Amino acid sequence: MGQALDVHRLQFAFTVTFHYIFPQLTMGLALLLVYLKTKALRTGDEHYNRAARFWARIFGINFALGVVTGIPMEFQFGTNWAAFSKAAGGVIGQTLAMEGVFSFFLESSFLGLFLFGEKRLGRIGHWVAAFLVFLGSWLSGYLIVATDAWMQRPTGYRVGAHGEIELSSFWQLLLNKWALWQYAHNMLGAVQTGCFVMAGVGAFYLLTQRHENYGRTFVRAGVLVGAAAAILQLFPTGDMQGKLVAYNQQPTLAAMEGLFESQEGAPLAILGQPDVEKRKLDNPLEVPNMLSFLTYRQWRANIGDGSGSTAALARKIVRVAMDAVDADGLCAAPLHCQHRRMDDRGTGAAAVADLRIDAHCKRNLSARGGGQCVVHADWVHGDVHDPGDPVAVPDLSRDRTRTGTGKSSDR
Amino acid sequence: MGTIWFWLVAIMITIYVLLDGFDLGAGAIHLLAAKTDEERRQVLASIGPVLDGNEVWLLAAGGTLYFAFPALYASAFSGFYLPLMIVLWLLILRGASIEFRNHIQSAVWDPLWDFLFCTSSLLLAVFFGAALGNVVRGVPLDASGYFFEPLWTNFRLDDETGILDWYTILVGVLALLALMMHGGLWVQMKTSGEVSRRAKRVAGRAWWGVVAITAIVTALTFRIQPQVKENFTTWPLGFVFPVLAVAGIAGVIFELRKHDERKAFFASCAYLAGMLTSVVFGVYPMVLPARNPVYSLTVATAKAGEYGLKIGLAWWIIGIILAAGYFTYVYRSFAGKVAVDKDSHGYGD
Ligand code: HDD
Ligand code: HEM
Ligand code: HEM
Repeated sequence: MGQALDVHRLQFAFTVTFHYIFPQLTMGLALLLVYLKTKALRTGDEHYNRAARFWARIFGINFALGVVTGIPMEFQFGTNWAAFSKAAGGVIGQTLAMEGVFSFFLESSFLGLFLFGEKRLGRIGHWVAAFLVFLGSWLSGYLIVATDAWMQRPTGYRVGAHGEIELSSFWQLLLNKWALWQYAHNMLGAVQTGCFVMAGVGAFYLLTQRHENYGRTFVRAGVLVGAAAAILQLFPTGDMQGKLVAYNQQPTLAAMEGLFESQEGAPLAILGQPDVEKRKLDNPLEVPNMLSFLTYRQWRANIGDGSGSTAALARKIVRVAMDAVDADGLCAAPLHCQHRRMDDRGTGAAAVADLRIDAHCKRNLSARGGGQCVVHADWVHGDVHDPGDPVAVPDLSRDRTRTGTGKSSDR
Repeated sequence: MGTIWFWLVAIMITIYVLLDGFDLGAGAIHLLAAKTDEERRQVLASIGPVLDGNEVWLLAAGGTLYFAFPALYASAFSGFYLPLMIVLWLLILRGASIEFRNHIQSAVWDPLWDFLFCTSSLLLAVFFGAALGNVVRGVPLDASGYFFEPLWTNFRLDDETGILDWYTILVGVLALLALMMHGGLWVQMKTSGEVSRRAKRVAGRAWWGVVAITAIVTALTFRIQPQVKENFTTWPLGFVFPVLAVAGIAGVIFELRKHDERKAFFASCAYLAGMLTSVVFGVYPMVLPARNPVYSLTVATAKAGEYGLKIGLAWWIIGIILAAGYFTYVYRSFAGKVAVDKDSHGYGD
């Protein structure tokens, strides 16, 4: 089973990486094509139209490869992640189907017109076709990012009686905060890729002294747009990506940074090889206190709780929120944080599922003082499940029946 | 709600077959109908502008299936793992060969691209047919709701079925012939000169095969899948679907004799739509019949949550109206016969 899982992951990782080479470029070029067509329309200069035609060919072939490598991606949700699809298909299927119905139809219909129909469409018509291709591919980017964002930070769902995950709020799924930031961040990356390719081709023409007037246009467009995108990539979007990880997926952060021991004033590791046996980073090259600053904007902020293990780290992070739930929740919550899975495989009474940890980060839960806490319900988002309402993750077998207060499960 | 989505997905798949069917068919007869480079470019030009859009119907249908019937998607796609991987490779080879032929013009490579384009289209038609055959015959689903089928076992219809057995191969051959006819009719309508004449001849010959195998497969289907008979006896109204198919196939030969190219193509559309809707009607309410009927996936057991399906209906209707608009516009823009000039072999250079 473990082996099959690895093979599936490898296959999925390979195909998604290979697929993404193409959209990355075409989404960037789509914007640049609209830029060139707009220039052509406004200045009436045929030069820009010729430049757009040149890039349209490159766009076309990459787009076609994007389509044929994208089809496997959609199939693989069923072929490789059948159990996941069966459980969550009602939710992420929404965004995936919307991508097909809204953006793929749009892009592919107008791409044909854009590539083959310049003469028939006229100047304005051809600009509109370019714009709709751009709109379609950027819309597609959003919907696929929203799909992934739901896997990173699930919202707007409910767990049904048989463990199936159902949509409960369409808009929460669509306007997931993670999706909005990830989209901005990702599209800036795509724009940069397009810009670098365009500027690179332009620079090549200039250096080899061929088609120099095109070379200049390409370099100018590529460098100007690319520089702006690069800055926005770093701040605010890259910064926010990091914070989202820090607030929503603490163990991911610790793993990304090679942080085995939690500490105050955690350093940012520029270089180093994690040694999992000895639980330390070999040959570290670190910027002191930087990680704490980047994530919480405080030099001495505590990342982790000193007990070492990642699970303990996660437990610490949800401690405050946990007080508000019940003692059994303590077992399930770190599991949730660490594996993003909602089942503790029956190690304790089923108690808690998806409790968000920004409650702690933002210090939004009331102080701990002694007995029970007052929870501001607003800050505890996600569903809090009563004991006895186990939430199963379909592809995990239950290795023993529950012993706690919950009903024993027959699944 | 489940039944509505059952029919919506069925309609999307039917549209996919009508549209991508003619470009698959055009690919399958590519080497037969077009001999010179000029002629082959004509065939490619007749499908080039609409090909991507046609394929999107497969994706949109797949996506819709995914969200409306997650359990079906999960068990069908994991069970058909092997043939799906083959289909994927064929789709990739087909897309890439058209694209490379358009961009790398060389007498050395062109025959390879033509060959790849033709064989991948041909095999896709067979595989899609065999897939349909599998769905009608039923798959070895068990209590877990999953199954796995090898490509073939002993080609018999017992419990350990493979993707290919004599029944599904027969359906595959029918699909190939039907799409060759469909694609031939498209090519003769969109091109002129020798290609058009040859395409017409191929379509005319395929017609005989289609008629013969349709009759055999229909008879067999009633025996292999008892639900079909049950549905047609319970709701006799369902006979409109087979009647549509028969009218379509008769129309094809009638219009071909009258030399009405457009009507012949539309008659072929009617035949395909009639056949597919008959099958869909025949297996309802099952979405994936099992060899052991107890384990069959039905609309009720496979559908997603009610709220999601309701919300989905709202955006689906908007989306499909938009898509229908784009398609009408695109097909209108490229109406008429293609001419091979500079415009048609590259991208507007
Ligand atoms: C943010 C960008 C992005 C990402 C991360 C992905 N894609 Fe993609 N995809 C696109 C952006 C895109 C695009 C720009 O919209 C493409 C590129 C070329 C094209 O035709 O559309 C595309 C094509 C494309 C197609 C063909 C569409 C068509 O025929 O027009 C499919 C089926 C998918 N993708 C599906 C996926 C799946 C299932 C992914 C992840 C597992 C995925 N894509 C990742
Ligand atoms: C580059 C951006 C992406 C990152 C960083 C990312 C990250 C992740 C992570 C961390 C997991 C959990 C893996 C695990 O728990 O073992 C995951 C799972 C998954 N992601 Fe993404 N993802 C990205 C893009 C996508 C996209 C675009 C899709 C498709 C829509 C996608 C589909 C999936 C699927 C199907 C899984 C479940 C498979 C599994 O558990 O291994 N991911 N992703
Ligand atoms: C200065 C440059 C950049 C910074 C500071 C930055 C920062 C980050 C951070 C901190 C994350 C979260 C890591 C995680 O989820 O595990 C992230 C994720 C990501 N970045 Fe960047 N990044 C940069 C450049 C880029 C570029 C150029 C691209 C694309 C070409 C890109 C695409 C992505 C994607 C797809 C994700 C995954 C999003 C997710 O899983 O939520 N980034 N980035």
